Formats: sequence, structure tokens, C-alpha cells
Amino acid sequence: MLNNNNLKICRRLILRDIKFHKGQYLLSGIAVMLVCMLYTFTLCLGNLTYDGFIYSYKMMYGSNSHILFYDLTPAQAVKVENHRMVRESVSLFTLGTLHDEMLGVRNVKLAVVSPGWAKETASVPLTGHMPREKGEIALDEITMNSLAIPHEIGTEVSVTWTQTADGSERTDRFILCGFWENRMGETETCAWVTQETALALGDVLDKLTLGVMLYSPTDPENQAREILSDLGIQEIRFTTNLACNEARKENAGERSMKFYRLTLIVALCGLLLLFQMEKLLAGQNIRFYGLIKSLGMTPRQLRVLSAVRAILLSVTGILPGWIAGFMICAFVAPHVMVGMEENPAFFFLKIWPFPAAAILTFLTVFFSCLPAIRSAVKNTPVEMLRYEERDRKKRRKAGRRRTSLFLLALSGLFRQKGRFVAASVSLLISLSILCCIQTIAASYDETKYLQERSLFDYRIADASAAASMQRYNPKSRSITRSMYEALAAHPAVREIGMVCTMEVPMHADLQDRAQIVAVFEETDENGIARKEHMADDPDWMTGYETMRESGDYIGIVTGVNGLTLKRAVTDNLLIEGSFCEELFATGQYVVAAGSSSTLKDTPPAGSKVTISGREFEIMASVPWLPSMISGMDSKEAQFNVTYFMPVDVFEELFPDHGIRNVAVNIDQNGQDAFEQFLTDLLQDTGADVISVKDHQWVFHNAVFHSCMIPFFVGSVMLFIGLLSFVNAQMMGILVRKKEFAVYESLGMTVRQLRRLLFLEGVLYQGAMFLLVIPSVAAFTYIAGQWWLAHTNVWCVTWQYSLTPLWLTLPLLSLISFAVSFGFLRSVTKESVTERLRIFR
Amino acid sequence: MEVIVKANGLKKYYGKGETLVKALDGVDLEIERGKFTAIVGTSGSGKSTLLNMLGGLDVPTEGSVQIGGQELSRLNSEQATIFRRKQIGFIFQNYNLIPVLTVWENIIFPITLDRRRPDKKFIMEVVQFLGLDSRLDTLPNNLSGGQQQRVAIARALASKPSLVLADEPTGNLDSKTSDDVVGLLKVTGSQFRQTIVMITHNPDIAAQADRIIRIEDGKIAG
Amino acid sequence: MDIITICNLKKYYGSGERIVRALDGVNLTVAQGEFIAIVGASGCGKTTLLNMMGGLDRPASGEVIVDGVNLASLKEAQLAVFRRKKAGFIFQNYNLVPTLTVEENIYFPLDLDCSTPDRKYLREIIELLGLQDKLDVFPEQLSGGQKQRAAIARALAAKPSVILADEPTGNLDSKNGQNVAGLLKMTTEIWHRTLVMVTHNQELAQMADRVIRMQDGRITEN
Repeated sequence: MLNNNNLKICRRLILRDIKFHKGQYLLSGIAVMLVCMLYTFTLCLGNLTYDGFIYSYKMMYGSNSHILFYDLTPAQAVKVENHRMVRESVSLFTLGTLHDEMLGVRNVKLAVVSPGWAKETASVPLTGHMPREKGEIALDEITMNSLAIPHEIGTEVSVTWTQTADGSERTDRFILCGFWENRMGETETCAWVTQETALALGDVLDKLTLGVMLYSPTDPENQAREILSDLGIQEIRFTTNLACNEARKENAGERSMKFYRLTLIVALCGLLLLFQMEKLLAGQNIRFYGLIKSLGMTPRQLRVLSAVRAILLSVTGILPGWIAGFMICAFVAPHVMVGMEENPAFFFLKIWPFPAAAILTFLTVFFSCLPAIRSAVKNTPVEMLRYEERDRKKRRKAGRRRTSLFLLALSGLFRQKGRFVAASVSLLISLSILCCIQTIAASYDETKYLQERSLFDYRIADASAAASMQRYNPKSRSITRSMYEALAAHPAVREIGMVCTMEVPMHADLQDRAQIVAVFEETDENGIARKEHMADDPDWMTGYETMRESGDYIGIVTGVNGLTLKRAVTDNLLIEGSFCEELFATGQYVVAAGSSSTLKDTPPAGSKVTISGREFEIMASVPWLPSMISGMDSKEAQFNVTYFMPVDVFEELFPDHGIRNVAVNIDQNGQDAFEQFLTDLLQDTGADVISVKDHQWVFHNAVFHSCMIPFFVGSVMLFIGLLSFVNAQMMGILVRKKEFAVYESLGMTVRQLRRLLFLEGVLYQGAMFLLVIPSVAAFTYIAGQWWLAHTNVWCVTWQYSLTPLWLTLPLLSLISFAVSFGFLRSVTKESVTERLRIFR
Repeated sequence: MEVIVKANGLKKYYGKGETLVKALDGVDLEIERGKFTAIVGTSGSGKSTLLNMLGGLDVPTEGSVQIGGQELSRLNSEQATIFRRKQIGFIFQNYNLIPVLTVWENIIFPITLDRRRPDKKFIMEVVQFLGLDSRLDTLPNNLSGGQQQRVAIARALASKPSLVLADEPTGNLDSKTSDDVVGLLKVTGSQFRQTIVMITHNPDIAAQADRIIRIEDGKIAG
Repeated sequence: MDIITICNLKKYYGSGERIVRALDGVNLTVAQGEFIAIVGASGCGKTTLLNMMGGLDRPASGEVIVDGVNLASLKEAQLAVFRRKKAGFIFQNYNLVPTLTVEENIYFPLDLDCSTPDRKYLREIIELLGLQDKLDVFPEQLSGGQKQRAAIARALAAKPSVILADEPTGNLDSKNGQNVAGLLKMTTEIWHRTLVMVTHNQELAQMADRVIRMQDGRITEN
């Protein structure tokens, strides 16, 4: 009695069933593949997001080590290294910290060469080599750029640094022997010297820093304390890797949850899809189950049968699903984890999402089979064998209507209303989502964005201002006058201009001061004094208070010419005064630039200012455009007023100056040649180029990123809608094989049959369009307007778009007719008599 | 005398209210082991419903059925199915062949489900008698109605059940084949002490039975 | 006058060793207004022959001429038109269109043809077959006998040259069967239709003007 699960007969039944219903199973296989693909995609993406964020925190921390112990004696270090919880360790002797205001917030340690440490922190010289002899030094490129050190091995470098031992500040000269591009350590890195050099500099090398890799990276804080107390070492300072911090992990977890939650939606979509497929086959399946049950298949065997079926179905769909899912992931990943050289999908590739996706797929398939099995277990064989898809029971009112093909088609449509509703719902939801996303994506205004963000086709930044957090060093000479001339002479260059800046201490008289102070003390529409908005920037506040009290402030004197002058001072920007180019060129005038396009936070037009002992009259005031200039200014200049003057006047005042930016507009057809020229010109200078393309990329990436997930969900649902639509059409015809044979036996020609199907298709689609178009259009309009009213994105212009709808509907018609006629052909292939005998 | 089939106050109603159909309206019945019983009656009188109840293929609204002393309603769905496929051979009016299996696979299907070894010699005898030996590898859809009917008969006999329930087994057969089939049923019946209950429209066949039960309007009329 | 002439008709299924000779050289003439019954063992080719006469199937060789039209010369579309104008089919399993009412089913062949129905004639048929109360009812609400009567009405509706009935009483008990067969014979006689009926019910066959016996795809007794 127990031994009645005959797997062999189950497998044979299913395999034969597949052989006899290839079309249906192909479609089911595609559906399963789709489901598996979605699972693989979401799980891979979730995993990638998590790992990616942990990775980026490590990059910020500057080391892969879990814990850093500071100021250990060599003896203590050996003990820690041998502790049971420590897997690996790297040590570092630190002499001190580089000290230069140009380094800003970065922390660069002068240390003795430690190959292990260098590897852990990605600070191995890529050009040149590690110091080998006394007096040699190896540096990272950001530090070099900030300190205006040319990228040339053998250069003599003067470094000011604070000695850890006694806190004294000293300046020493070294020979540059190697440097590397920063991949980690944006904020913290090392400058390498040899042990010999260190000893010569008076260090005794009795304190070292130890980087420790733990066996398990959870809660490194406690583990660090445990290690120290185990060893009886006290008063040792340590830090733990940001990436191992629970809060960071939580943060990364939250970001990846977004994708794991998507898995739920996928599960729902998948179930919906497979349920629909199963539902269409329900009648056929139930009769089949009834048949084999009447022949003595027990409910348990039926369950086994359906499990075998689910497994077979899953197995066929899983491999292609994995591949497809991973491919989509690889396509999307670079947009999710921006700024990695390798494709993050491959970089963070793990095994577990694949088996997980397979199991989830199997469960989804199995659950979708359950209703049929449940009814097979519950009902008696006779009930199941008698099962019919009940169409309509309503009596029509008396009176015969002439049965035209049209009416026949109409009744066919009514019979399919279940399918109609199922297909419409998926289509309705998916198209609504897609149209909303399309409307939102179209409303992101690229022109508006580029006008604001990209004033020029190309903006070349001096090496010391290449990174946005770097402070510009006027001594840097990565862009030379001759390079500027060369650029200006290039045939593709249409317009060119440069920006030179100099921070100059200035004084505002009482009248000027009053105008500026009035702006910041005034309350805005929210009833808060404007200066309060800057409260989280203490440097600005200090600068502002100093100016308010004493009138002393930093003016950023900016030399502009050609293109840069044209962009900086245009008529439509003018806040106050008027601009006359001839007068400006005389060198008697400057243009003041404030922080916004509406506020007058500069000395008023017409007033006089003294810059480096020379008096200028303010001709006009304009808002300062952030994208004119790269890099940052000094701490003291956080509160400032910018004064634009012609470059030649600037040169007279400050003969010894570098070029901060060069701006270029070009002819589009000379683009490739120009870019090649630019690359060659700037090679090894450290100067950075931002082109309008970069801005476009950033813009498109941001749009993509914000629309990706709903777009993805919408597409999946649309695909499901289309698939169930095709399925419904197909089944609608296959199921009616016999019905068509009856029509034919009564004298309906194949042409009439085709016309009947055509009419059905037209009616079906007509009804669907009538339902879908107005609802989607209305929903998109309302949802889009709501979004527009609530979004905080600044570069938007309302752009109503129903493109996905217009693209989908013709596709729908096409598919519908193709399926109808394709299957009609296969259905009418057999002779009428054969079909009339069809087993049902 | 040993009673193998016993029905008590059997009722089966379909629908409700105005459309209530009383397919069976209180049937009491006892059938002896080894006997050949014919059930006759007009179409829609409840013959098939009664046969389905006796075979455990459908559940009565009221009343009980005992087969060989086993109360069918006491068995759960799993047990009932196993009991049925071991004890009862059912010949369906519309054959109920599995379209995806060949004739031979169809015939041995209930035995396969039980993981038993089919008695090939016996089955081949039946197959030869029914003239199906050249058709064993064919799919049911390629057979004529009469041939399908004969496959269904062979399947019902293959597991040598103690009770054979046949719903118009000769409906699609001409009179000679019908006589032969009834003869076969009687021969195997006496050989394996099988009890045969058969629905038929054919008065000649009914006349060959040990007992005739007439059903009218869901009740036994004689 | 001969309404049907069949000349050396052959129809084979399959090929090689497994060839089935469903029709193996059939010659037959049927006169206008005649009622003939085709009998024979199951699988002897009766149904195939009937389908050939109605243009539902194409012969391997030989000719079928119905009402002066050689069916072999017709294209598929023309065959369809032939079926709805010249041949009225009655099937064992009725084949009524489930989504149409009884009345719509009866008018269906006429509607397909867009021809104007002869209302008086149709009313007579409907009354004769006792369907006047059931016209607005869907087939699923009818009993088997009623369904077959509706099918007869449909077959007669287009005033076809021949009525082809394939076991019209196969799914009915004998009383209903006799009734339906009687109606069929009566209606065809009243309107002088030619009736070809396949059956293996001897009593029905005896109602015919002529009985044709078939065996292994050939006519053995005419």
C-alpha cells in the first residue's frame, strides 16, 4: 500500500504529454525561463549592490584591513600578530604626517616602505619603483597634483611634515622615485621612504601601526578590545574598517534590499504568469487528471506526477534563465555601481544567487500547479471528467437573430472574457507604469541640465583642481601658456578662453558691507535668516562674521577672456548695472559675482574696490556659475566675492600665476581629431578634461538610475501581459479545434473561418484598446502631474508621453493576427473527419 | 451465497432549487459474487450514475456502498483509489483511453500504477481474442471507435479484478463483436470468479444475464 | 435517377505494412429519394464511405458524384459550399454549436450561405420534430433525443440533396432511438430527401429501402 509511487510511469506520462503538446510546453518553458531570469537578475543585482557598497567603503577607508592598531611596540605587534583571532597582518612604521594646507582634508602619512601594507592599500608605485635608497620617496598622484609636483621620476621634492614623535614640523627634500594613480585612499594614503631615510630623519622606529585581517569580520570593535585585553595591552588606539561597521553594513543591506524586494514582485509576476498559463490549460488538465484518477492513480501519485512535471518544466527553463538573467545584470550593473573599471557583475560574481534562483523558480512553478492538483485530489473522477469550461448560462431574450460571422465572433469574444480580463489587467498595469516612467524620463530636461552644468564643450582643469575636493594651487603649472596657445591654434577650436584665479584679502567699506549683510540677515520665505542656511559650514560662517565685523574678506580675483568672459558675463545674467565690453577691456572695471541669480550679496555696482593696491569700479554684478571653475578654494575663502577682470589685467597684477581652467568650444566635425590632440597634449600633466559628453553621460545615467527599477518592473509585466495574450490566443484556437471542424462540416469555408478569426481579433483588440488607451492616458497624466508637483529634481520640463502605449498596441495587433492565422493553418491541416474524432 | 456489492439508500442529486435533478433517488441493491447482472433503463434514468457510485468514481449525496464488505465511504481518497484499481475493472462508455499512451501502455496502465508485474500471457490472450494484437503500438486516436472500445475492455480485464463494471461496453460494436465481447466477459468471469455488472441497451445481451435490474427515474423498477 | 454514384472508391490510411484499407474499391449508386442503411462490423469502413459522400474526406482514388457534381474536381472552398448546400450531416454525438441556441443552430448552414430561409418549410420541420418549445434554449439544456432532433432539423434546413446520418441513435436508448429514427425516416419521406444512414442496429437497418453490408472496406451485400 505504501509502495505505490511509481516515478517511471509519471515520467513517461509527462514526457509523452510534452511530446504531444510541444507548442504549449514551449510556451511554458519560455515562461519558466523568464521567471528564472528575473530571479537570477534580482538576486545577482542585490548581491552586487551589497558587495559593491562594502567595497566602496573599503576604498574610502583606504585599507582592506579590518582593524588598525596604532603606536604598538614591535614586541606588542608580534603578540597581536600571533593572536588566535588574527588571520593576517601587515605592519607600518609611521614617521609623521605630511603637512601642507594644499592637501586640504586628506591625510598622507610619511612611512617606511611596507610591501604588505602597500598591497593592502593599493599604494604600490605603478610608475617608477618603491624607494630603495636613502632620500628617495614614492607618492600618490593626488598628493603630487595638490603639491604641484610634476609627474617625473627624479624630481626633487620638498615635503613639509609633522613628526609624530615630538609634534615638530620640518621640511625635507627627497628625490621622487615612483608614483601611483589613486584607486583607494582618496582620503588617507602613504608617502613611502626607506628605513635608512627614516633613521636619518631621527626616527627610532619604536612605534608601529598594525593592520589586522580577522577570521570573521563581524563586530571588529569588540574583537579589537578582546585581542588587547587577552594580551594585556592597554591604552592602544585602534580604528576599525568602515566597511565592517554594522551601520555601514546595514546601509549596504538596505540598498541591496531594494533589489531583494524586487524578488517578491518577481515571484508575484511569475506566479501570475504561470497561473494564467495553467488556468488556460485547466480544463484539459483537469479532464486528464480525472481520466488517470478514474484508472486508479491515487492522489499521492497525482501529487508526485505534478512535482515531476514542475521539475521537468523548471529544468528546461533554468539554464537559459540563468544566462539571460546574468546578461541583463551585466548590462545594468555599470549603471548601478558607477565608476568601476571592470564590469561589477563579473567583479562581484558569486555562486549563491544561481542555485537560489533555481529553487525559487521551482517553487514558483510548483505553486502554480497546485490549484489543478488540489481540485484533482478533492473532486471525484466523474466530476473531473465532466468538467467543462462553462461559458454562459444566461438565456438570451427570445427571438432569433441571423447568425452572421460578426455575431458568431461576438459570442466567441464573450466566451473569452476571462482571458480578455486576465490579459488586459497585466497590460493595463504594465503600460500605466511604463507610460509614467516614459513621461518622467522625457520630462528630465537635458537642455536645461546642460545649460546649467556644462557651459562649454570642453573644460580642462589644472591637475591641482582635477578632483572636486582638491584645493586649487596657483603654483601648479600643469596647463602652460604654450599649451593654451596650441589649443587656440587647433583648427577645430571655435572659441577658447581661460580662467585664472587668485585669492586676495580685501576690505569692504561700510556701505558695501551693509548691502551684503542685509542679504544674509534678511529672512527668506520660510522665516529663516539666509545665513542660517550656511550654519553647517563653519568656515563660511567664520568668513562671514569676520566680514560683518571688520569688513575684511577674501576676494577671488578671476581673470577671464574670450569664451570664459562671454559665459561669465552675459546680459541675461546681469543682476545689477550694465556690461560694456570696451570699457571692461580698459582695465578700469571689474564685474562682481555673488552666490545667486537673485540676491545682491556683492558690493553694489558703481562702487569702488581696491585689489592688490589698484582701484577698480564695479561695472555690474552677476551670479557666480559653479561649473565655470574646477576644484575648491581655501578654507578662508569659503565666504568670498568673486571679481571678474580681463586676463591681461590679471597678469599685470599677478605676474606669477598658473591657469586654472581652459574652456573650449569646437566644431562638431573636428571632434575626433580634437580629442586625440587633447589627449596627447595633456598626457602626463595630470590635467583633467570634462566634456559635454561627460555631463550628458552623468545626466543619462542619473535618468536611467532613477527610472530603471519601475521600468524593469513595467517591462516584465508587459512581457507577461504579451505572453499571456499570445497564450490566450493560441489556446483559444487550439481548444476550439473541434468547434472549427463542426463549422466546417456544416459547410463553413476556410476563408469564412479566417474571416471569423479576423473579426474576433478585431473585436477583441478593439475592446482592449477601448479599455487600455483612455485608462493608461488618464493614469499617466494624473500620476505624472502628481510627480511633477512633488519632485525635487530641478531640471524638469513637463513632457507628456505615451510612447510605450503606441509601440505596444500595434505589436499586439500584429502578434494577435500572426498567432491566429498561424495556428488556424496548423489546426485546419488535419481533415474534418479526423478532427471531429478528437479525444476530449 | 455471498454478497459482493451492497448499496443502501443510495441518492445522488445534482443542482438545487428548480433545477434539482434526482439522478438516483434511493436505491437499495445487493449483487452476488460471480453473477452476471445487466442494468437496463431509458437514457437519463440514472444507470451510469449508479454504476459510477458502485465503482467509487463518484460520491453519493446520501447512502452507502459496500464492496466485498468494505464500506467505500470509510476509505480516504488515497485508499479508495488503490482499493478500486485492485478490485474493480471499469469499462467506460466513452473508453477513457489516455491519448498519449500506446494501446499496450493503456492496457497495463492500472497495473503499472500498482507496480505489479502484468500477467503477460493472460493479457496477450485477451488481446488476441479482442483482435488487438496488431495494434499494440498504435495510439488510441488512430483507432476506430470499436477498436477503442475493445482496448478499454482489455484494460479492465488485465488486472483480473473481482468486480467488472461495464457502461455500455458494446455500444459501438456490431452485433457479432458484441456477442463475442459478452462471451469473453462471461468466460473470464467464470474463470476468475468475477462479478460482472453491465449497463446495456441491447435486449439480446441483457437476456444473457443472470439477473436484469431495470432503473427508472433514479429508482429500481424491477 | 441516381443522386449518388460511387465508382471504384479507395481510401488507405498509413503506409507499408501498417496500411489500413478503409475503402478498397467501392461501387454504389443511390437513387433520388431512396433510404439506404449501411451496416457492418466496426472498422469496416462505413463511416469513411459516408464521409466521402459528404465531401468531408478525399478519396485516394475513384469518383464520387453527388447530384451531378464530381467531388474530386472541387477545391476546398467549393467543397465547403457543397457541404452546406447539398449535404446534411447528422452525427452520433450531435455536434451542435454550444454557443448558439437551438434555432440559431438550425439556421446556421443557411446563415453561412447568406441565403434567405424558407420560413414556412422550417416551421413545419420544427413542429414535426417537436422543437417549437426549445428554440431559445442552448444545446446543453437538451436531452440526447432532443439534441439529435435539433441536429435533424439542421440537416434538413438547407434542403440538401442527401442526408448523411452516422449512427444517429448511437448515443440514445432504444426507445428514443426508435423515435428519432422514425422521425428521420418520416421527414426525409415527406420532403423527398435521399437518406444514407450508417448503423449497426438491425431494427433500424430494417426500416431502410435497401441495406448495404460492408466488410473490410468492400460491399458484400447490396
